[in-house]
Amino acid sequence: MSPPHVSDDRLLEYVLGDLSEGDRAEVDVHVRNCSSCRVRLLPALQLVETYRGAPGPEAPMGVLVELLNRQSEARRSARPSRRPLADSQMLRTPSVGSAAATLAAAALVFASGLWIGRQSVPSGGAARTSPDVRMSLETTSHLSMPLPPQIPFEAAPPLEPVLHVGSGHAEEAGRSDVSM
Amino acid sequence: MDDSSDRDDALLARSREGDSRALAMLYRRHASSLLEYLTRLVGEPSDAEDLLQETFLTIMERRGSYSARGRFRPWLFTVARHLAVDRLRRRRRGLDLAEDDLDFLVSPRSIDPTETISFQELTGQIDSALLDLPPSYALAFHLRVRESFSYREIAMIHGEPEGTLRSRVHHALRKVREFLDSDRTFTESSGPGCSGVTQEKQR
Repeated sequence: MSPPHVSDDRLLEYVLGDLSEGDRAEVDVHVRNCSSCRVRLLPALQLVETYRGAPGPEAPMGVLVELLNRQSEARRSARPSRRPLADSQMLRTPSVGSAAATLAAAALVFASGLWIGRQSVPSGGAARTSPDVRMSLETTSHLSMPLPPQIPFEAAPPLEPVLHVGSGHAEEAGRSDVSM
Repeated sequence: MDDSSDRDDALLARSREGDSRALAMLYRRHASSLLEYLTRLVGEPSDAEDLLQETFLTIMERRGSYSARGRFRPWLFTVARHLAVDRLRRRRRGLDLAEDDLDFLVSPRSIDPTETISFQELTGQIDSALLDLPPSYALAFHLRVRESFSYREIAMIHGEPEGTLRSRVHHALRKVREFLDSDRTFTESSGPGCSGVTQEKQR
């Protein structure tokens, strides 16, 4: 007797990376051998991968230039006495920054952009440009082929507790003080 | 804690010591995803950009007190969300709103998916579907799927119970699927594997 089909809820959990490793492996095995469940799985999988893989907006470089200017100004003004870097006033009415500082910041932005553009990936968006994801999507959506051993959810974070530093942060998050 | 979190912590520490390049790298690593989240949250791209700057300035101001090793991203998004909610509340001043009443604060139709080029092609239809959902559902879905945050992290950012967020994400995914199922063009035009799905469905 063949095993029962995977429920819709369980497939959603699978796609969202909410299953434990054991449960996930169980679903992996089942969908590899069950075309009916694969057919139900693939649209949701494709939806999630599409949403995850789409390019994000371009970060405005003007903001970065402003941040670097503030940092330089803060360093200069911090020499005699250290002051908080920014407050709501500073956000609206930036103090007079020197042209040299702006130029230096712009140069840094440009230079780091060239370097970072090749080397770094936003941590949360690691899967966005992953060729593995694209590959696996193509592979898994070809129904005549068996699913690969690793259906693409490697990018999902581990579900073990990762936020237990300190205490009660979930509760604190609702308050205005967001210091950690 | 993964390598990426380690790297964020190291960059933050270096930026605290005045290393501008480290600050630039932190910005480059997170500004795009944060801007996307903020745009989804407040609707207006110009507001989102202001909030992006405000968030990073707040981070710079408070980086001396950051001690949550490996949690830079959740912290960043938490700060951003607080600033955004403050702004939304000011926008609707005079109304007595609960802190987390995002579904009321955010207009469900506040984002035009065609406004940002990056949304246009791959996520246009999904965005349309998400816009039909209450914002709190769409945001939870966004943080889970797009940003790969754990439910615990999302709970920290939004100040809501993990179970609630989990069921919202599931509900959102179901609804988006229903929306796309009713739109055949999704399966017919969105990738090399789609034809297989369509063929199988039609059998």
